[in-house]
Amino acid sequence: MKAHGGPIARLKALSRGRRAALLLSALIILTATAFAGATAAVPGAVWAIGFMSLLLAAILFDDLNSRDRRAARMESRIRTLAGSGRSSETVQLASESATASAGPQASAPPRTQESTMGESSSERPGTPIGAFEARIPRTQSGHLQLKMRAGNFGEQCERGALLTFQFVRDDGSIAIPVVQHPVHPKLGMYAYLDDAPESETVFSLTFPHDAAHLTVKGVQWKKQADTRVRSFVAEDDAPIVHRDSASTLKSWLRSRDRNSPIAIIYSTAPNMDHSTLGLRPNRLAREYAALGWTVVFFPFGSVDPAATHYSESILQLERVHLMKAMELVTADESLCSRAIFICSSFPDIQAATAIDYAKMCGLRTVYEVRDEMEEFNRVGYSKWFDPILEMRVARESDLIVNVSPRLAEKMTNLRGSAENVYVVPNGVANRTINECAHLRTEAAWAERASTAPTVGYIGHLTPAWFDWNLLTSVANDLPEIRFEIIGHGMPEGIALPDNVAYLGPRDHRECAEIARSWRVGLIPFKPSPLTWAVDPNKIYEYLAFGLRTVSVPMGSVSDCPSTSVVRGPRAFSEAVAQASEAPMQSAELLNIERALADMSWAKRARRMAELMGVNP
Amino acid sequence: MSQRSLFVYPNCSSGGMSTVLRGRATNDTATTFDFLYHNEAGGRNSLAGTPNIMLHRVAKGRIDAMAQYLATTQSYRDISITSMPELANKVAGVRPDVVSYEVHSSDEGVVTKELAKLDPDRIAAIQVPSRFSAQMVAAVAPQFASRVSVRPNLLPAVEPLGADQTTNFDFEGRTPLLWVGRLDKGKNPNDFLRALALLPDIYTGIVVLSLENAPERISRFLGYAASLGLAKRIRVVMDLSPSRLAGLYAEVARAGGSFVSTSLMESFGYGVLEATSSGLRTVAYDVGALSEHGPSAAPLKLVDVGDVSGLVRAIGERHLTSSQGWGL
Repeated sequence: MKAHGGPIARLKALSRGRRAALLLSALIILTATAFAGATAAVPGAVWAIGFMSLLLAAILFDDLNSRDRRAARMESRIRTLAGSGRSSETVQLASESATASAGPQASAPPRTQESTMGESSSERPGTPIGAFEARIPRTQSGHLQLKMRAGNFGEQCERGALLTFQFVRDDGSIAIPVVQHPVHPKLGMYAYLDDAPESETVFSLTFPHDAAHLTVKGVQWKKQADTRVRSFVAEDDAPIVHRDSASTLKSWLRSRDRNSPIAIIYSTAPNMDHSTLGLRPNRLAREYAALGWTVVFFPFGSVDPAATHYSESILQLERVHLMKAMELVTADESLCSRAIFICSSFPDIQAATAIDYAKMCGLRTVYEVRDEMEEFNRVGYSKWFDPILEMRVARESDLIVNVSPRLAEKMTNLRGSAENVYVVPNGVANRTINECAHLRTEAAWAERASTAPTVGYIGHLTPAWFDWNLLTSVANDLPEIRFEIIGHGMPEGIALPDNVAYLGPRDHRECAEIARSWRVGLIPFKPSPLTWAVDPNKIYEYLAFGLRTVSVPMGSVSDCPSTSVVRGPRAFSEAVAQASEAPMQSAELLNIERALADMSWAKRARRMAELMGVNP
Repeated sequence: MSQRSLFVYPNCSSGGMSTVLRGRATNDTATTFDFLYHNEAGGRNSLAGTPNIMLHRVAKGRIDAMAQYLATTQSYRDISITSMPELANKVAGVRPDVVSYEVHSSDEGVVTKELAKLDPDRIAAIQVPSRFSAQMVAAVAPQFASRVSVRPNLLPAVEPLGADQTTNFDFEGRTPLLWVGRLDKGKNPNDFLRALALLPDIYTGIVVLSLENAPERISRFLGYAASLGLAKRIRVVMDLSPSRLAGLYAEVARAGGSFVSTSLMESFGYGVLEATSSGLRTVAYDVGALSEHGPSAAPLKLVDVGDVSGLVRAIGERHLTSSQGWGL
């Protein structure tokens, strides 16, 4: 037990049982002293002991009574909360201390409301948590952040103190909370304060639509703790009021150009606003927008309401709203005739049924096949995958666009026909091509050749397809070459040779900067159906960075300039060594430029539009 | 709105209990219905269009406490709890006067298990949607027999389509047969596929699902359809909004199609009632409460349960001629 302050405070800090024992002892001594005083001549010291005992008894008795009174008040408050369904409208910041300042007031909803708690005694600053109450009017945004600083002067224990949150309607009745914290059957929504001796705890809350104000009350949940509130701040937490997504979509679609094509993209891709990850659907969505299209984007993950409007032309929504979007579009002939549903490598239940729905409503459909999802499923990813669902999507879609010949072959087999099955490989951003033009020069190569030879890899690092054994073998074969690895998914516990450095995930600008010193880009993947099917984005980036590429066989890489496609560690090492040494001259650079001119995402988007029958 | 009602059920989907709730809410617009649930199963958009339904999604671990808290802090006229007997016991502990436990399942095993968990000292009222269900409850849980009352479900009023909206379903020139439900054994989708396979190519099947998220169930269904040669004669859609589903009923009726129910048990038969109320010719197995809908459901044709050939004859009778019998 930790005791703070002077002797009186120390006495008060004792447990209830010990204080009761001390009180009893003091009373016994007092009785004995009185008896001695009555029966004999008593020295002054005995009277002094008796006086001190009386004082001690008075202090302890008062303290016990005080705690009982507080406990009774707390029980009464809980009964009020749990019983009548009403709460006092006049509850303001209350403190047993005469020095506590006024708390948040109900007159107006200021952006920030702050109170500094008074001191109930010089030893224990702050308002006892059990006496804390605050009434906070509805904020402008309907969201609220609360910060409470508190100290614990009693025993350190878990979950010693908590706050209850009760929303109240205009008529004084209790509103139903938006549940963001635990709920107690009687207290309602609550949250514990941090248990540290000195702490700041932050809570986020949302006002229910019909709540006029919030009442916050403190509860000392564990009696052995003694929590004191130092300060309390209530802030309007979200300046933007978000409408529900479905309403947003309806009004947004109506506000858009009445002639623009509409792409509904349902994909396994990350959110449009992801800082470092950007897959083909993200890239093409931006390009479609640049062509004047309206894009409704469904990423794989959840969407922060604040990020719904990614750009003027792109709205991103949670997947649960897919059918709502399909219904909105198909119920309006003027929208339906301009719209296309694109299932981008995500042939799950929703996509399969959405495509059937689209077929019934005359909405055009595309299955864009970016990866061999069956293989992802086999190696433990993409749990949603089922081959029959994919076959259904392949057979029912109006058009299938694949990123590689291997995938096109599979789709042709599933569909039973090559009709409307095409290959449109991946690409690279125009911005990357333009910004990295200086890397595709003889001077840039000369600079690379002037430093120690460095090669590198950019991409995912999962051992499901990244061939770590191959990389390690090649690095061991070529100790004079430095290998730099960039990407997500670095497996734990991999022992790398000294000449291999892992640089972590980097954004595209950082990758371009790092690649200034590289001579070769690597694609060391394991041979598997997944690898054969893939069309690696990285090869287009390597070309934009002015690099040669050494790759295992896959996709359309053999069609790319300055690329060696090899099998086995020995051949891979030889190809890396050779590609690192031979100077890159103007003819080779020209070849790269010519190839890049057709490899931009903008060109890919135009090709997709052409296949979809939409004039770019 | 002067009155409030609390409705507690685990799932918020676009069919089933959500339809029960919408039926009550759209037929009693003076009451606010608080819907407390923990599993979002695609119904949020469907219910959001009914202004007097307030959705309250709560994590599974918090729903018991939340229900008790609401029961003590809100002035509810009534509290309906379905499929959560332990929660019902707790809530009835604080508001025994307004709590009623509702039984909507037609599965006797499920109902027996649920009622075994109900505390007879706390639960004063059990509500069921049909006489059939009342008899089942009385049989499997005699201790509650005297407390059972029948509260028929109400058909929800459906918001009409806007002037700029259309129902443009294309059945590719075929006669549509509509089947609505989940892909479970009780709803028996296999018999629907078998019947469709026995019917000539002019028929196409439209299957409307809700609350499906396991790929293997729909995969098995589609695989069976393909093995019967129906891959090109079936459309499977999911989580349609109430207004879109109503539009589909109307379009199927206009195209001369039928609603088909192959369910092996029905405590009420919402789909059948919705279809018949839309004027859609309906063929169903004679199970559970379906016969209670009576002569008012004029376009309803009931056949013996499990009689696939009878189902086919009932579906196709308007197309049958003396020379066409399909051997049945």
